Amino acid sequence: MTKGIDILESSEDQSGSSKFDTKLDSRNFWGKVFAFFCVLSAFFGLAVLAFLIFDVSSDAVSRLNGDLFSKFPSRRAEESGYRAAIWGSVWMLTYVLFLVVPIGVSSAIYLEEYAPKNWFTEIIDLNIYNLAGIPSIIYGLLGLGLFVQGIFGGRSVLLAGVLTITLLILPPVIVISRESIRAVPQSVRQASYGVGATKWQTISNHVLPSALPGILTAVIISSSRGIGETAPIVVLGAGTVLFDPKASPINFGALFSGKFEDVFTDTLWSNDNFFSVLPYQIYDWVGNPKPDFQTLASAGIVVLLVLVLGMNLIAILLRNKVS
Amino acid sequence: MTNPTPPSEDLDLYQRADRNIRESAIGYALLFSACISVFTTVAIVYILASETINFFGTVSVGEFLFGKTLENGSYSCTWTPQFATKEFCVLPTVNGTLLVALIAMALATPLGLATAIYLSEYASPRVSKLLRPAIELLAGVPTVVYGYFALTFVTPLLSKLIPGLNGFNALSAGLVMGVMIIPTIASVSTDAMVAVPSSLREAAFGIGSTKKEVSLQVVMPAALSGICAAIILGISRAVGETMIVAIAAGQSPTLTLDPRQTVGTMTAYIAQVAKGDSRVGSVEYQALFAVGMTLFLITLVLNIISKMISKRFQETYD
Repeated sequence: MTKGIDILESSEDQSGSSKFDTKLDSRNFWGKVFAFFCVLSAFFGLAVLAFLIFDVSSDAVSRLNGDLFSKFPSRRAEESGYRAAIWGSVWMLTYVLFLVVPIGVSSAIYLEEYAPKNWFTEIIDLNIYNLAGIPSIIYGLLGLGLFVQGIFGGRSVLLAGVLTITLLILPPVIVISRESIRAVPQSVRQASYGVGATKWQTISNHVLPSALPGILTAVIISSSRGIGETAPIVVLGAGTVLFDPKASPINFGALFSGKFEDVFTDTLWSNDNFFSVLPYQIYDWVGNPKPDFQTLASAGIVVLLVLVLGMNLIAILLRNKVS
Repeated sequence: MTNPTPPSEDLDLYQRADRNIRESAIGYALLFSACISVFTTVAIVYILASETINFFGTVSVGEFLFGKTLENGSYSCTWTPQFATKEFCVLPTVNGTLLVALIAMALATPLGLATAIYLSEYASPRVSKLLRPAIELLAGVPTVVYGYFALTFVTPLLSKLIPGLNGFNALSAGLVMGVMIIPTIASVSTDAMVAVPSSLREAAFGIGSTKKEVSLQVVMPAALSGICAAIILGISRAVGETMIVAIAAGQSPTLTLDPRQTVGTMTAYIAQVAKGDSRVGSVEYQALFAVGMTLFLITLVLNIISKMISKRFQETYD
């Protein structure tokens, strides 16, 4: 101990001739350079995003009007709009949520609260992690083989898209929901069991309400990814569509006029219910060599970005409010 | 508490049997939901495998992986399923995928790691809390938007600087993909760096290290396995990304390492062929699934490696 101090003192005394040169100036200089690089990197992505938004908006400004929402695709760019695609996206999102929320939350509850620790649980667990890492285009191939060819006889209908996107966003919904269920303190469950509640009463009355904001965040972020996905929809074989998608589960007109054999014609289940979604239509027009179509594509991108970034913003605010 | 409520029907003990049945029914319903994910995996593997086996009934595995020798004796490895003379050698598309992924990682790795160091070591908790979700927004932007940006902004910009740049090229697609991957690398590495015990940092500061030295020589090595996991996860994202390359990198698979050239990736091929109408049962249709299977196996292996590495790191510091 004393020896160490001696060495320190003596090196201070002979400053300059010491073998241990601290090189403080150069180290501090490079430290500052490094810190600057880190700050720059952290803001680089955001700068690109801001610039991207600016660039796309300035390309799009001449086409941002009502026609964008009210017109169907056409061979002439100035008469084209995203009507079918926007309705396709809206209905797809609606039905995806309808499926993803119950299935995703139930899976998360099962894995966190019910699952025994055995090989089967381990398989489900590992499986969900791996599913979350599979490229979206593979889900497209799944949908093509299983839904489009297997169930709908080669027709790329809205329901095939809904089912494909549902399977695509289930794994992230389950993973993030599980985290927020796990974060509910064990004492809450013990208190509930202590007053005689059953397992399901404990979960539905205490665990789920506490985990709700986290689950909502998971659902919103994942479904914003889902409606922005292009690749699986391309693989399913969606095409340009010139009519609104049929979204009602039953034909109310037929129901009320007593034509019961027609209750399912022109509904969600119809096998001619072809669909398009916003990102698919954008992709279709980006690939068009005419500059007018590229402008149209940029206008679609503005709509898509408002939707997707808006959903992300809501999710972030929700998460911050809780934590 | 001084005035206890009378026993309500909640305490009716005859409800017990009823309640037990309901409880176990709920348990099974939840189990059924959880099994849907297992079903998804089985379906993916079954569909990819069955069409791939059909494909290998027409095209040999050797030709698919390594090309073939033509009648005139010359070696050929090209990917031309839509042409009149079909050849099915997957290497050019794998080459395209790897080239674009390499460019993306060359940008995303240093920027992602520097971002992670800033978030975990330099930024105040307040700034870090605001900045992290903002950076994660980058991963939330639909990839078709990145594709548009690469094609209509980055490529024209780069063509002013780089002579001989093709209108569709690996470079601008790779760079824009790099921006998309920054959050993946930054987020996973930040978690790994934050998990490094602060005693290590304090020890290093105690012997007079600067912040840069602590970050690079203490925190980064300690978080190395998490960083490796992040990088592998990033590669897996880059390999599986479709729209950026389909829009901006072109669709002609060639064996080249020149980033200025048009390439064709595995994903872009799948998107391109699926967009056109390929007959079910034709060899082009089966080729889709064979390429899909290749892609699936590559990303699966990368994800498993990433998971194994990060598991080891969790064991070290928990």
